[in-house]
Order: sequence, then structure tokens, then C-alpha cells
Amino acid sequence: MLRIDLFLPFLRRPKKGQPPRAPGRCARLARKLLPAALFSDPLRPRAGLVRRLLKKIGPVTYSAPLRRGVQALCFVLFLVFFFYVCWPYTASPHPERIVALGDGSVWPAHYAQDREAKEWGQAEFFLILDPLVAFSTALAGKAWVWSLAWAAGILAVCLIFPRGFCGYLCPLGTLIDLFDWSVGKRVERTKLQGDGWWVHLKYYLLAGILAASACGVLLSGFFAAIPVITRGLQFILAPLQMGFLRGWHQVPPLNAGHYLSIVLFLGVLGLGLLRKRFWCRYVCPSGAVFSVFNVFRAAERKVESSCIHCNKCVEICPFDAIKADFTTRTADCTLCQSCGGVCPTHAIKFVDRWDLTSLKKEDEPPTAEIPLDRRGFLAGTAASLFTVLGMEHAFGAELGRPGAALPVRPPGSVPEAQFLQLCIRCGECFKACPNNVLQPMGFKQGLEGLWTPEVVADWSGCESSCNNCGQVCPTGAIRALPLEEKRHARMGLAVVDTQACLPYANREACDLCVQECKAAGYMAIDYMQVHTQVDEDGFPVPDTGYLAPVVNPDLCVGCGLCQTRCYLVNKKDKGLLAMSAIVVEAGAGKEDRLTQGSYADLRRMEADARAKRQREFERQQGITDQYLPDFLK
Amino acid sequence: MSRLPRCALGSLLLACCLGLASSPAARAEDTLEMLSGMKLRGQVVKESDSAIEFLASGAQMSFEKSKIHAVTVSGQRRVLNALGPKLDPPKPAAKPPAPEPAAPPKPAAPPRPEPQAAPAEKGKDAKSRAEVLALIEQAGRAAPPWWEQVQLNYPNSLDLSWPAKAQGGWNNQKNVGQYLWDIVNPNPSKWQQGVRLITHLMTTNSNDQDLVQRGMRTLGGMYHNLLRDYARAAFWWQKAGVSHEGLADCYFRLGCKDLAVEILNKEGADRTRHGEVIKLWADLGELETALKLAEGKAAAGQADIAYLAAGDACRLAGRYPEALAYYQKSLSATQVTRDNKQTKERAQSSLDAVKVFELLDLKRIPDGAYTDTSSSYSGPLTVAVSVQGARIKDVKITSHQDKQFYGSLDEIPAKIVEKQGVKGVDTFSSATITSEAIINAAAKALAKAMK
Repeated sequence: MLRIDLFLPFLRRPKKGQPPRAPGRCARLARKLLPAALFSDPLRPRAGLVRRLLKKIGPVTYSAPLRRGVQALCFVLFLVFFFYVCWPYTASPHPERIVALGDGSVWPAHYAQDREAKEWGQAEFFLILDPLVAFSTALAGKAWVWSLAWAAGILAVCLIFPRGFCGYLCPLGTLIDLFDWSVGKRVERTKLQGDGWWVHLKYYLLAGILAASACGVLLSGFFAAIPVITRGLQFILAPLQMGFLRGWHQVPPLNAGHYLSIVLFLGVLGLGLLRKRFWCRYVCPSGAVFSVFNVFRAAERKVESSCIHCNKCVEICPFDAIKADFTTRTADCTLCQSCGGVCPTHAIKFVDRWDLTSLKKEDEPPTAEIPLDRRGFLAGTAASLFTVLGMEHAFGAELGRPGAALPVRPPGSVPEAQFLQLCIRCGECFKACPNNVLQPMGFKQGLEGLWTPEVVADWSGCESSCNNCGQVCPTGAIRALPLEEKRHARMGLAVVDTQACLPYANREACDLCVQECKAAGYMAIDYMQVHTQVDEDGFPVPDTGYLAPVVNPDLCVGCGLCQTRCYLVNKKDKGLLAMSAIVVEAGAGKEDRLTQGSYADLRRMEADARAKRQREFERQQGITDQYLPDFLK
Repeated sequence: MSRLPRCALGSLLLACCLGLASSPAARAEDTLEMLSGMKLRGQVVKESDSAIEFLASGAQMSFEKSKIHAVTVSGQRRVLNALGPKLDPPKPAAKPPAPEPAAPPKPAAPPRPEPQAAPAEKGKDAKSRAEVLALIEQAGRAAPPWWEQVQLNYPNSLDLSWPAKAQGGWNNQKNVGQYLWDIVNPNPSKWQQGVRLITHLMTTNSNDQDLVQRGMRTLGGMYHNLLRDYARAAFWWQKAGVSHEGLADCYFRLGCKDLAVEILNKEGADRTRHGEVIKLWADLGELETALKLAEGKAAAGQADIAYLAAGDACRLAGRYPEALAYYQKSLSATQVTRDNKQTKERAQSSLDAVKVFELLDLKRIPDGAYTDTSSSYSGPLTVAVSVQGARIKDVKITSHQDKQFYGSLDEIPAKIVEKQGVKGVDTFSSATITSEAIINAAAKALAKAMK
């Protein structure tokens, strides 16, 4: 009924003793158009160029070339999304790279439009495909996460290609393949012998992650496949890209969180020393989601009775999905079909699961499968609940506690508690953020805030023309705001330290923050004349005193550009201050953390309310000023 | 407030290369009608031959004139390009001219020398006495277009009786004059509110003749110095019965030189703080009179201010060597005013700017590479300019720490080489500070190298 021959059987040597199959229509056309040297000679048993080339690349490629091709394509795609689409420095301002705002004015849009132009596919495509990302964030945040739809889509595809994501699409899997090929296979003495309880570790981990999510604590960021590779690249390779292409002074310093993530990532790769694709086979909880879902599979690998017990399929299987009796561990099989490609008797077929024709007898030779262990699930769940308790009482953000750390979050971030539940810590926003305004938090909020994005305004300020972070966020922790909305979304409020600020302290003239705010278009910092000298009649002496900054909270969005400039010039370059004298602060009343609704509307409503109050005041006072007072008429 | 631009060379340099005339006055809303049909409201900040710098509530950006249908400034609409099917040859993505440079508003300071042709010199704007006086009376009696949109807004603690002399210590939340000085004057966004406040005070205290007089004088000053609405400024000054160089400036800018000359002649010697009379004579194109008054002022013990004004006058007239000599005299003056510190800073920066921009002579620079450093966005930026055979061969940025520079690191050096100098090199939009630093450092390097 259903037959999936992804291992391209027509490329294979015909079964011994059988006449060669008549070529199909496509093959006939190909033979007509392409040089004959590419093809095998059907009369003499001599392989053509294609087959010889594939053989040279390696046995896996030879046995299942299509799968290797898809893998390579997806890996390249992932790298392009990561290193090119999420690389914001191709943007440059231009008079036409603007958007019209609702009030008829215009706003620069070069960063946003540059990303849009490059993003012909979703930059976060692989992240939203990872079903564990969607499930765990939706469960933790008790919210609809839009990537659930994508997760449902990939699971539906996996009805036909059970766990095909792992074998074909997953870039982490491909990277592990590369590592195993280049390093893993050269180291023999670390290889594990025999199996143990750990063969089902991924299920126990998955159970634990989902249990923690149900309690509102998101642990999947540590283990889910795509966040692991995204973060790994972000922390290891993205700094190199920045350093070589833009200058090393633009690489932000690493913190404890970086190091932990790098160690974990290298650990994931290092598992390949134990057994090839150890992570994917036994640990990856994203893979476990597919494995569990395989209960509903429509197709599977079957072995016919022509099997000669040669063991070639067991040797080549990268996923340890073939039992000792050569039948399939269906939960682990990714339908990579390498086995089909090596089977000398063509005994392996990939058909619908209800196909029972001429199957091999099972349990021959006997298998000794390790069963799923209830204790394993209990341990996984208990460990996660223990972590949940720890988060709540010892290493959590403790948002309710007075004095709790309140980091400045990216524009459009949902309320902090929900943010921590939705942020998958993948690092995609850091990559897309020009000048690394967003940087991964260390342990400032305990374990709970680890690797979440924080605005580091001492390093750089949020560009007015950019809305990249929300656009690449796979879970909606940062809302995907159009530029006009982002222009109004307050991520914090700039607060001037009047003790330190140079004009206020009567030290010297400085208006870097005001200039910066004006250049960015927010015009949220006004001047106030301070320290004016007065003559003997009490009149101010011109050219005395300084102009000092006053932040207008109605206009400030907390982009942090002011803080960047003050820090870079007054602290770092001139050493006049111990820290920036204007600092963006988050917290209630200083930021908008909306789960839905328009920030622009919010600002309009506030402005209307102010105007109304003023009209009311004028009415009460009976003010009806004319431009020309009556005495001049 | 002349203390503000610490890098004085930088600010003058900008004033020169951008033809910067004024700080963005919060005047009536301007509009740009694009050929594409898009209509933008905001403010025209600056206008050059090829482009208009436009400040819309969001941001400031530059529009090529070839793409603009019409522009309305202070209620006056000008059509630049006719609408309709017009084949506009596709232009290469031209680099937009720089946005308005970083210069704080200087409401109290006299306008800087403007290296532009004064309006009267063009001749076409000239109006007769009667026309100008009628214009003043007509415009002065009509509310400015923004009047209805601006709400009265002042702190509740303000003493609305506005006594002539403020009581108690300095308190900008209580005393009207101090409120204007500290809060309104420095902020273009508050100027219109300030005008409304004064009108309100005059209306509510209309019996207090002294206060009404003071109010009208204040309005004249605000319309002239802040909003640059010269007709209304003249109207209120006339009503207040004052006649001074400010009113003369209004007459001149409205197109009647005779009225301005009349007032200036009546005033005679320059007794102003910053040499405004000398400056206005220079604006009128009467350089000899300006220089004569300057000598008089110098003899009266205000040599620093007088020679600075004379230098500016010569510079405006394109007589650069003389301007240099006057700036030098200002710097070495012994009889000085109490503003000597700021005056010296101004004279020095003007001197440097004239040397680098107007008098740069590559023939006087021996072959070699010259480096200098200037403050950029995140710290020092160093530029190496190599000169060979009286030509700028190339300009290299040898070190910098900026994070956001777009194309400025390539484009500005290329422009300097193309223009064979720093004059007329526009900054790179959105990387203005980096661009300025490159121009600045290159200018300093060249100036140092000139023999």
C-alpha cells in the first residue's frame, strides 16, 4: 500500500541471481540526457561514476544518499539562517528605509527591513520545528504558543516518516554526525560496551522536563536539541564571526553563564566518544517526543524472511534502532534507510505498519531488550520537581521579594514571570541584535534567569530602527512587534543620577544623553538650566551654569542609548564617572509588559488623558486665552 | 552656553561644512509633499541645494529634493517639482546628507556667523518699508498656526503675578523669569508653551501696565530668538515700544534693509554684549561699517568681543586672511570682557576652522602621512592622511572603538580623497558622530601638517 524507498534502490546493485530491473521512465530519460559514464552498466556488473563517488564518500552516504543530501541541505540552511539572516550588519540607513507611523511622521527602519529582505524563510525555522520547545513553553506559560502549530505540522509529517526529524532535519544531529566522523570514530578506548538503564534516559528526561513545565519552570532550554545547538553556536562561533568581520572590540565579555553553556555544548558533542550519536540515541528529549509520538506511526521498517542474519544493518544503523533479531525498535528508527541500502538480500523494506507480507520471524536470534523502567520515570520526575522546589526557594528569580533583580528585557517582552516560563534560552535574539544590546544573563536571577536576554545598556543601546529580537523569538517570550509598536514599547525608564551627572554636579558641560536621544528620534530628554549665576540684582548671568538632562517619562522607552554614550565617554574613555550617570531601570511603572494589545494605543490613551486633564484644568480656572489680549484689539 | 561644545573645532567644522544656519526652531508645523504622494508633517531643519533635512516626530531624515513635490515652511508653500508623469532617471542610492549635527539649542546666545548669502543680498526678497510694516501688523495680529494645538502648561507652583523682581532665592518652579530661563528656553519643545504662558500672564494681569510691557518685550524676544518668527517678534517689540538691533534684525530678515539701517544708525556704537550690532551690519553686507564699529568697541575696552565679531564679519564676506588676523587679535586682546573665556574659545575654534576649511592649501603640505585623533562615539578614533605631490592620496582609519559605523569608515575617507579636503564632506547618516570624528581628525592632521 505504502512504500517509501528513500534509499534509492535503483542505485543499488541488483540482487544476485535476479535479472536487473527494467529502468523506470525517469531513469530512461536520465540515461538519454546524461553521460553514460555516470550510470552502471546493467550487463557487466560494473558500478557507474555516481555509485563509485557515493561509495568514496562513505558507507552511509552510499547506502542512503538522499538522506545525507537532505541532512546537508538542512544543516547549511540552519547555518545560513544563523550566520547570515540573523547577522544584522548588512543594514545601512537610507532615506527610503523608513516606515510611516500612524501620526503621519516617519521612522527609520533599516535594521528591520534589512532582516525582512533577507528572511525569505523564518530565521527561527528549526527552533519552531522542535516540538519540545513548543510543548514545554506552552505548558510552562499556560499559554498558546504559536510554534505549537509548527510542532503539530512536523509531528504530522512524522506519521509517515517516524522520527524523520532526527535523521534528516535536525542540525544538531548533523553536527554530531560530523563530530563523530571527524573525532569520535578515531577514539576507540572510550567507547561503551553493552547497554544499561541509560538507553531510556531520554524518556526520563522528557518526563522530568514536562513535569517541571507543568509546575511553571522551564528546563527544556538546557536539553532541547535546537536550543542547544543555537546557543552553542551563539556562544562559540558568533563571537568569532563578530571578531573577524567587525572587530574584536565588539565582542562582549563572557560571563559564567556563557562558560556553563559552552561546557554543556561540548559535553553534548563529547558524548560521541561513548558511542556514535549517543546524544540523539539516548539523551535528547526532543527526540524522545518523536519517539513517543511514534506510537501513531503509519509507516515503519520491516524485515522479510529473506534476511540472512549478516548483521550489516545493525552495524550501519546510526540510531541503535535494530534489535538483535534484526527487527526494528520502532521508537528509535528514524527511517534513515541506511540499513535498506546495505542489505545484500533486499530484505528490508519501508512500508505501512500494517503490511505483514512475508515477514521474518521475530525473536530469532533472541533479543534482550531493556524495558522502560518505572523507577527511571520516578527519578526523572523527582529530580525535576526537586529543581522546581529549588527554583522557588533557593536559585529562582524570586520576583515577589523586595529588591529582587529586575533586568531590563527586550522590547515587547511579556510580563517577567511569564517571560521566564516562555523564554527557551536559545540565544537567537542575541544573534539578531545589532551591537549586542541583548546579552545572556548569568546567575543574577539565579538559575531561573540563566541565559535569558538582558539589555546591557552600558555595552550598547537598542536601535530605533530594529525589531529583530521579537521577530526571531520562537516562543513569543518577546512579542513580534511591528516597528511602530516597538517604537512605543517601553522596556524601561532612564533615570538620571543627579549626584553624579556632570552638569548637575557642577563639574562640566555635557549633553551626550540629550543628543543621543534626539538623534534616535525619541526626544525624551529635555534640558534644564542649572547652576546659573545671579548678578547683584538677582538676574541670571548669561553663559553661566550648565544645561542638565531631564528625562520625560511620557516619551522615554528605555532604549538605553543615553546610558551607552554616557558610559562609553564619561566612564570608559575619560574616566570622569564610576558608572553611567543615566541608567535605564526596569520595574513596575517603568516598563510595559503586555501579553497582548497595542503599545501605540497605550501611549495615545495616556496622551489623551493628559490633554483632557489640562482642558479640565483650563475650564476650572476659566482660562480662555486669545492670542491677542483684549487690550490690543 | 557656548561652553557646551567642548570640541569647538568640531562644532564649527560642522557649521561650515553643513552650512548650518540655525538650531531647529519649534515653529509652525511644516509639511513635505513627496512626488510619491506621501505627505509628511514635521519640521524642516535644514535645506541644502539638493536635499531637505526633515524632522518628523519620529526621526530626522534627509529627502532628495528631486523626490519632493512641495514643501511648506511656516505656512508658505513652495512647489519644487511639478506633479504628474515625470521621468525621473533612477539615481544610484545617493548617500543622504548628514542630519543636523549635535549642537544644543542656544536660545540666549546670539546667532553664529552664517556662511550663507544674507537674504537681502539676493535682492529678490526685498520689500518696501510699507510692505514690511503692513506684513508685521497683519501677521502680528493673527495667531500663529500652532496656537490652537498648544495647551497651556506650567507648574502649579508658579507665581502668576510675575513680579518684576523675583522674591527669595532661585526657584524655577515659582518665579516666571527663572522658569523661562531654566526650563523653557533650553527646550525647543517648550517654546510655544512658553509663549502661551506669557500671553496668559498678560491676559490675567492686564491691569498691571508694567507686567504687560514686560510681557510684550518677552514675547518679542521669544518670537525672535527662539521661534524665529520675525514678523510677530517685530509686532510685539513695536507694541512694547522698543527699538533695538533685534527689531532691526527682524526688519532685515523680513526684507527691508532700510528700516534696519535706520535703527542701527540711531543706535550708533555697538554696546551689546556679544557684538550683535556689528554682526547685523555684516549681515546687511556693510562690512566697512561693521569693522569701523568693531574698532570703536575695541577702543571702548571690549577688544575680545569686538575682534571676534569683526573676524566673523570678514569670514561671512569671504575675506579669510583678514578674518584670521581679527581672530588672532581677539585671542591676544588685553582689554577683555567678563565673557573672555567663552569668547576666546569661539575665536580659537573659528580660527582653526577657517584655516582647515577655507584656507587649506595642499601645496603647503610636504609629502608624508599625518595622523591625528578625535573623539568618536565610543572613544578615540585615529586617522592617517597621506599626502603626496600636493594631493590627498588616501585616508585610513587606523584605530577606533565604535560599534555602529555603517559605511562611514569607508565612505568618509573616500569623500575626503574625492574632494581633496574636508570642506563640503557630508557626514554619513545615522553614523554622524563617527563621520564627524573622521572629518575632525583628518582636518586636524592636515592643519598640523601645513607649513
